Amino acid sequence: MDREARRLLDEYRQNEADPVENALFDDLAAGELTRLDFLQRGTVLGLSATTLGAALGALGHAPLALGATSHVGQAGGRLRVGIIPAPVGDLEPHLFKDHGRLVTGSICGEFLTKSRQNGTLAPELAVSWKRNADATQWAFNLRRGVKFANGKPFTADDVVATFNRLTDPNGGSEALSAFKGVLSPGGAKKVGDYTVVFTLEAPNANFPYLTSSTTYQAIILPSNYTLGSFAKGRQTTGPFNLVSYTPGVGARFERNAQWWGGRALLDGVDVTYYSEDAAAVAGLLGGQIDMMSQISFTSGKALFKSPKVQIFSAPSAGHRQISMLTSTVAANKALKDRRVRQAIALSLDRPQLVKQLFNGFAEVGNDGGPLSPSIHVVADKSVPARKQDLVQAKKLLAQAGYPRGFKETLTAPIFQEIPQLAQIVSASVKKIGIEMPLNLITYTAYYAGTYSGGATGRGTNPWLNSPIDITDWAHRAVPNVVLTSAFVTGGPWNAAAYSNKKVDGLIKSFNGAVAIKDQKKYIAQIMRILQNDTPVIFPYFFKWVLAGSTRVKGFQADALGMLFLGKTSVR
Amino acid sequence: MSAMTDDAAGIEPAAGFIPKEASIARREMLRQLARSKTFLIGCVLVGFWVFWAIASTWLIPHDPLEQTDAILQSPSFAHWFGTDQFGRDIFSRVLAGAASTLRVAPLATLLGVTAGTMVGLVTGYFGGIVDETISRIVDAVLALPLIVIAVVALTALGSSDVTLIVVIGLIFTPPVARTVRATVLGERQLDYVQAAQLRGERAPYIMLSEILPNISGPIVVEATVRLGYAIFAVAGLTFLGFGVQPPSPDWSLQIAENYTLLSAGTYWWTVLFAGLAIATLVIGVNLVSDGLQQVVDQ
Amino acid sequence: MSGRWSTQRPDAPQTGAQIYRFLLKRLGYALITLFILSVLVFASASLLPGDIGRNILGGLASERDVAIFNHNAGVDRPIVVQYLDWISGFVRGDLGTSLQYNVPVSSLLGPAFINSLKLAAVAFVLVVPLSILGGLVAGLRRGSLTDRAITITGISFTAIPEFVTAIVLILVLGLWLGWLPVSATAPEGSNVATQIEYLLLPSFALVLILFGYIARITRASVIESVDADYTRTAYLKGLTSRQVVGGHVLRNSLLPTIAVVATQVGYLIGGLLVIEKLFNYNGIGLRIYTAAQNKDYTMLQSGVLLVGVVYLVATLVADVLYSVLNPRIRYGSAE
Repeated sequence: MDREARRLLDEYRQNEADPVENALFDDLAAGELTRLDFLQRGTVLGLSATTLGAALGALGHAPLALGATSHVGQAGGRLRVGIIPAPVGDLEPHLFKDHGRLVTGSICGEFLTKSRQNGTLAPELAVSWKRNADATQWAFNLRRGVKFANGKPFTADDVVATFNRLTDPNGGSEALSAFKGVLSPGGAKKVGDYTVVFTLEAPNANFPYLTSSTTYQAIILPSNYTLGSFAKGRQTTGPFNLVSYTPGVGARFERNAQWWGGRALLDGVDVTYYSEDAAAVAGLLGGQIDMMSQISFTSGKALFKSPKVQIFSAPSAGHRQISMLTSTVAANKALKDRRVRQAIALSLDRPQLVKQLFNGFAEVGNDGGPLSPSIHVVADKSVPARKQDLVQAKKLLAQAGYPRGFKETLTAPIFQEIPQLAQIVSASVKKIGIEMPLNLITYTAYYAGTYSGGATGRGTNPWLNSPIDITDWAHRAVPNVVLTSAFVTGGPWNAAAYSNKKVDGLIKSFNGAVAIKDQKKYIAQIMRILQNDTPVIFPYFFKWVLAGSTRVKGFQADALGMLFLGKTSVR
Repeated sequence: MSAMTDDAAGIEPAAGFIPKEASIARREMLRQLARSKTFLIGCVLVGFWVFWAIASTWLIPHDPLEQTDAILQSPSFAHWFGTDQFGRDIFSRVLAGAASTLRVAPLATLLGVTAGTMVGLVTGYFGGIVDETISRIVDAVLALPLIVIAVVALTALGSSDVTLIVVIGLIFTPPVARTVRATVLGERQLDYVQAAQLRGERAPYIMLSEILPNISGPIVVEATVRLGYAIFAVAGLTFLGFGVQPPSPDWSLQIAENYTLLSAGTYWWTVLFAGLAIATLVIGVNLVSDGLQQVVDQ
Repeated sequence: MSGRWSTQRPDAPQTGAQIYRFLLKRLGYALITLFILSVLVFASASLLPGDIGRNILGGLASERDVAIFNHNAGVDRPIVVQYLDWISGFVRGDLGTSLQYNVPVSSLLGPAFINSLKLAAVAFVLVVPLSILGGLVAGLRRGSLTDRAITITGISFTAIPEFVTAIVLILVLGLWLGWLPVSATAPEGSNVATQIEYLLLPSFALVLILFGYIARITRASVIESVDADYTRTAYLKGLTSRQVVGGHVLRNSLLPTIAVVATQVGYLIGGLLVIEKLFNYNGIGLRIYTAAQNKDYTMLQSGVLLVGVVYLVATLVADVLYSVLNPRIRYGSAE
């Protein structure tokens, strides 16, 4: 036991730690938290590196590894990146919705905090943060000496302006899904030039995550930012500056000489947009590009075998939800019975799915909710995984009154590996007698249509109104948003029309719980109920996988596919 | 053409039926077709795929949709063409894939040729303002590449067998109308048409019962040519995602789903056989149309 | 397959005055056709289903935002007004504002159009001489082994769908042998030679696709002119084989080829969607495709009309060439 570490820790606990933080140390000491869990939780709470390191050292864990790279590449050269697919829509950060835009923005834009690959939060434009006792207020200390690419110094005004725009209910901010009910315009206030205090609408122990790269719209922009300027460049603080952007074609970034993080190794980044994988794979293998922003099901196979290519991956909570309408007018009568839904869930061979679709770069999911065992600290790992059991599945079907099965169409968007997943699901349920033809539609069509009114009050869009469908869900560091939007009665993204008062209450409690013990308590109950009700099947949580040539060094994948290239080199 | 023969012999066809000389000429044409190597080889190729389009449900070794654990295996005795990413037998899928193409392309061709012939007859026969107006509209449609019209129309209408047939059929109407019009223009001057007019026959009768039988040869040739284009169009649109959807064993779908695999230099069997299938079918149709053209043009 | 371009065109003009009148008539027709085309294009783009604002902003946007968007995009005005607004702008070079990217359509279609021109030019330069030569040789040696070989090669390659040809070329020449780059877009600022190098692979695909068709047309008209009376007359007059071929046969068989090539221009400029996709080339076909998928009506209608205009101009030019090169052939009277 490190004496110095012990001393530091005790000092902290006596003088500064509040009950929540003390509980965290206690849990670590009692072995109820893994080292990684502790770090994830600790960074969110805003504990400094010194304190974290002290706790680890004092309690006999491996010390903090402070991000030293084993290999520092040579400076110079440009990185040629292929981003698939091209951004759709305005290159306007608060409107970011799709992969193409968020990845483009991540090359030049920066956030208050950064979400690291292992789920911990690191300082970026904020250097430290602290909450008040009941987590209704968070104070962020900002980094000094930062300049935007146009020379304007970075201060608290910029943060306030950015968050006001992000939380504005009129203006189409896509970040509202994260901030609604949490932060509203005016909630961010400047206290001196380098401190911002966020006053929340309700207690939220995970707020710092919402200021991180996980909320990919939250790129900090100058206080005098005018709409439409982002695409012209010089509005960001990151290692590279956007110099030119041609919609649907590409973008060019040059090294930002004023970057607070030092001098980026690359001279610049050249982005080419691809409409689909195959051309990008050919480009990577043929040497026209150095990196592809994501690999899909099929392209992966070609790349995994090539010696010219290295695979980068990041654990992620991205997943697919196979939702089954449990109520409302349009639902299939059979699917309304939970035994039928359980039967369908039992018909899937999940390890085989992971192997086939992701070549192992995914983890099997059980149906207790959008809780990834490897990402979400609060996930209850003791909820048993669902294994394929055709006998039990048939039994359940018979009990529900469908011994000879039934027929229902599976609707799914043509996006990444979802068509393949749909085919496998259809083939799997065939084994228990259910006939499931496919209705594969374009990604746009899946989300098109109205979202209110109509016979069911849920509008005309296929996503919320198909008896059974598959939806893509991006990574989120904490499960709050997904739980609230998809599993609470009347939630905007509740494709299964699931309504369970008990679960509603539990989710509310979870959102407000500050101590990690309490959070885990609520989640454990939620997971068990959801596993039993099975409104949604979670076949897997996939890792974010991308590929680059073997010359690329100093790059770490991100769960959302963002490209942080400050320390990357190609020589 | 039989009409020329009649004319040269000075015989006027009586109203309503084709005289003996015409049917003799027709039989002679059929005999020549039977001797044409081009035509016969073409028929064999096309017939092969038509057979499998109809009979595949009963005769193929494996269920084309059945997924197994034997993923991406190269051709072997168990699976002559290998297996794909879902462990499905490619040999069965290639044979079963003929159905989706042969369901859509011939019907689209039929629609296009029928509509085009009607339009061509009307514009060629009447001439004047009718011809001018319709021809300008035809020109307007012809100014756009087929795939552009198809993509826009199918994005709006959604992709299904029916919309494919309708869209491709309508896109083919103008070129067919063009060809038929040109042929009708040539026929209109001939004596038998003027004789019919003198007899007081009405226009629809003349167009359908007099002119149409005499230009049936070139129309049939045009139809087979269009069929080749239709197969192409269906293949291209399906490749882009507008046609039939997975898990159908359609050839273009197979290529679209698997061609990324080829970059690594392996798994060639997932794409090659489907590609050969399309090529042999189109070559077959082209040979049939060439054979017909050689005989009809005499 | 003779269509309107058989050498036996009944309405081919002969004298200078007739040519002039003919071309004027053709120009008039082209303008009428253009007008009809613009109406058709506008009507279909407007008929693409759905509320435009809703489609662009997505399902979660508020009704108010959608209404504002629709108003700003001008789609709540009467349809005739929208049409006139678009068409008057188009003629002046203002193609509207892209609904999905919020930038002028011309800034996106302009470079795409130039790219398509570049690719068409390279493909053109490769395929036309090759096909004419092939068709000439095949026609002159009709029935021989050479003829068979050329014809069968032509048919075979034309029968392979373009995406298959392109995929095979990318794999073999691009990846396995590494002779040519697999992307058609050269890095920014490359010189002409490099740009052409990058365009070679897609051009080869186009050559394989078009060779059979053009060679066959050339071959057919070579055969026709070889059999024609005037050729026999030329031989009887004592002209050598070379003179006859070079003088009469070649010139007469070029005419339908010119016509055929002109009709292919439309395909080469706007119809290469699949090739552009596979080679990730920013051409006009791909722009139209993305516009249709993302319901970007303004880009879609301007793009499609542009392609139509190109085709009509190309056929008009072909008609001019045809008339100019064809004064000495005498055929039957006009229709």
